[in-house]
Formats: sequence, C-alpha cells, structure tokens
Amino acid sequence: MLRETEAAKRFHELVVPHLGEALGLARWLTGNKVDAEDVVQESCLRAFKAISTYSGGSAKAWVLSIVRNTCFTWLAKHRPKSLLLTDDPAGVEQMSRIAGDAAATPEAQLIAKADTQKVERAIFNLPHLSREIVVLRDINGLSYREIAVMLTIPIGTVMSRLAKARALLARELGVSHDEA
Amino acid sequence: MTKRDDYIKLHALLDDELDAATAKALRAKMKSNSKLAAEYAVAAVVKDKLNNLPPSEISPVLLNRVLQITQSSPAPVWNEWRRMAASLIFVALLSSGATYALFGRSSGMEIADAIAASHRRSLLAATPIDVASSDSHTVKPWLDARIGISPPVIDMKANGFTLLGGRVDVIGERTVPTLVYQYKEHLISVLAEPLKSGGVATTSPQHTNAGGMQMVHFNENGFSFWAVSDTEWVIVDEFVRDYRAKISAASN
Repeated sequence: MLRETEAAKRFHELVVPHLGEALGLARWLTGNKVDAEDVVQESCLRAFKAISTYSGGSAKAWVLSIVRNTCFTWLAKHRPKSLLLTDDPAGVEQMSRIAGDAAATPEAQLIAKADTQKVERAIFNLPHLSREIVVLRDINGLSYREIAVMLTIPIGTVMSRLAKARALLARELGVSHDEA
Repeated sequence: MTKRDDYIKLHALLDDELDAATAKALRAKMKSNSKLAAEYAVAAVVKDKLNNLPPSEISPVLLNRVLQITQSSPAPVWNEWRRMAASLIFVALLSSGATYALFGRSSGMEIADAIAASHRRSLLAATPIDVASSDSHTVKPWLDARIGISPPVIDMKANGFTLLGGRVDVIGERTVPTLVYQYKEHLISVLAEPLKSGGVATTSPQHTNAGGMQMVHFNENGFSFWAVSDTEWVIVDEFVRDYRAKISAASN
C-alpha cells in the first residue's frame, strides 16, 4: 500500500494528464456531458484507490480502461436498455433506434450545422459497440492491442468492428468514393 | 485472403497495424483494384474527421471534484489551496499538451525532484511537447511569445540529437521554457531559466539523480540549464558537452 502522499503524487502523474481523454470517452459512451462528468469523478476515485496496482505500460490505456468499466456499470444502472452488447445484426438495428433516442438529449439537440457537429452526431448515432471501438481508436488513439486487452476480445474482432464502425460513419456522413 | 478480409485489413493498414509483408501485399492489391483503393480513401476521410474533433475540456468544477479525491484533510490548508490553484492552470492547458510540476512547493520536495517529475510526466502525456518543430527559429519565438523567455535553441542534429520542439513547464511557481531533444528512443528535456542577478555566468556540470532520471545542471551564457533524461549517463554527458560548446560558440 502506498503512502497517501505518494498515492496522490502518482495520481497526478498517471491520471490527471489524461482527464480530457477520460471525459471525452465518458461523454461518447454515456451520451452527454453531465453524466460523463459523474463517470469521470467515479473513475478517478476508482483509479486513486487502485493506483498501487498500476504496473507500468500506457497510463492512458489504464485510465481509459477504468473509465470504460465505470461507464459500463453506470449505463447498466441508469440506462440498461442502451447496453445491448451484441454484434448480431438484428440487435444492432434495435440498438441504432435506441441510440437515436439517446441522441435526443439537450446536448445532442445542439448538434446541428458545422462539420464537427455533424461528425459528433454521427458518432452518437452509432450502435454502442461501434461507437466504443471507433472512439477508442480514432479519438483516444489506442492501439489495437490496447483495445483488445481493454475489451477482452481478439485483435481480429477489433479489426472487424472498427471496419464496420467506420463504414457506418461513412454512410452517415455521406462520404462517398467520389468525395474521397 | 478472402475479399471481406481485404476490406477489414484496409483499416488496419490505415492504422499502421499490419505487419510489413501483409501491408505490402495489400498495397499491391489496391493498385490493381480500384474499389479497394476507393474504400481505403473513404476510411481515411472518416478517420481524419474523427482525428480532427476538438478535445474535451475539463471544467474547473470537475477538476476541483477530482482533486478533492486526493485530499487527505477535509479542510485544505493554505498550501493545499495553492496546489489546487496550480493544478487548475495545469489542466486548463492540458489540451495543448503542456505539462506542469505541481509539487514544487509541497513538503520540501527539491527542485530536482520537480524537474524529474515534470520530465516523467511529459513522457506519459500524449505528447512531450507543445510546439513541434525541428526548426530552432520556430521554437524560440514560440517560447518567447508564450512566456517572454527565449532560451538559446540549438540545432544538435549533427551531433545525433534531434530537436523535437518545446514546451512550458512549471517548476515551483515559475514557468520555465523546456526544449525536447531525441536520441534514438530516448528524450532529453532541457529546462532553461535566465540566471538571477549575481548568478555565476558559467559553472561546470553537476550531476544529480532524481526519480530515476539522470540530470545535469550547469550555467552557461546567462542561463541556468537542467538536462534531464532516462537514458544513460554517457549520453547525457555527451549531449551536455556538445550543447555547451554550441551555446558558447553561438554567443561569441
């Protein structure tokens, strides 16, 4: 067990530099900023308690892994319907409708015109699994291996989910072969 | 490789996650298959759009809530509030990748420890620099504009040390310009602070080890320098020797 001051120091070194990314991930997974802030606070509490278990490697991946798990618990408690965690097409279709409903939050309603907002809207509209994978890779910048460890799935599944998520985004954003 | 596999692997190619042989084979296939090449281009546009989203900003209120977690005493004393205030500035600048030492004034922590912590933190952050440039004429004015201090920015490429850029560190309560050089897979941070009046203009290098980092302190040409790295002493020494020689030559 680390001394309290040592634990606080490690918390500042390992966790605080990644708060922005933690908030980003929580926001994409919960769907709005207020819930995301609660999740980040809870994640930080968990990280601080577990700081002595950090054993090297990417601190960012460690922090985001805690955020992801906290989001999972949070969603299961507050929005169990949104946690339809399947690659099954029928389920994904149902999931898309739920995600569409979730997008009607006050925050999502502000999303309208600019390209940034269009992209954000498209991400929010993705099914949970697609949203999670594409955010971890293209926004948080984690490697396939880090994502595979975090989600406890094979790297092949990371690749296929990511391909699917980007294809959905391309369709949603109207990126066609001609435009590219 | 099936057709579906190819489409999935396009994304891994885009993410630089394929081994060299598979990547080469896929690139060759793309040359003769325009549909595959078009899919790759579409994926690149999507990825680019996501990469360009603005980072999430941490509000002072949230930061305050997070920092409370590490507070041992329920009623923070003056020093604790000051530390919190410094942390607020720290996270306000996080989106630019700035790194700060928050511990300079807590419980007698020495400046060397603060500098070592600052270097280590920069290694853990998304990027160790705020301004990325190998051009000393870009880094120097950036630091000058940011904090009004322009340390000598020396091109060390001929000596095997590549300038990656600069950042601003906070050591104790002072903002300090920091240059970042790369030697193989190691980074060397060079903190440069103007000498206070009465400071000795030139001093010989003094070696310190703090927090697992090799550190060399020396005064040269009106500045007090700290070179810090996790690489071997011999490399840091060589860097400092060449760096001092170049500063000295530049000022003559």
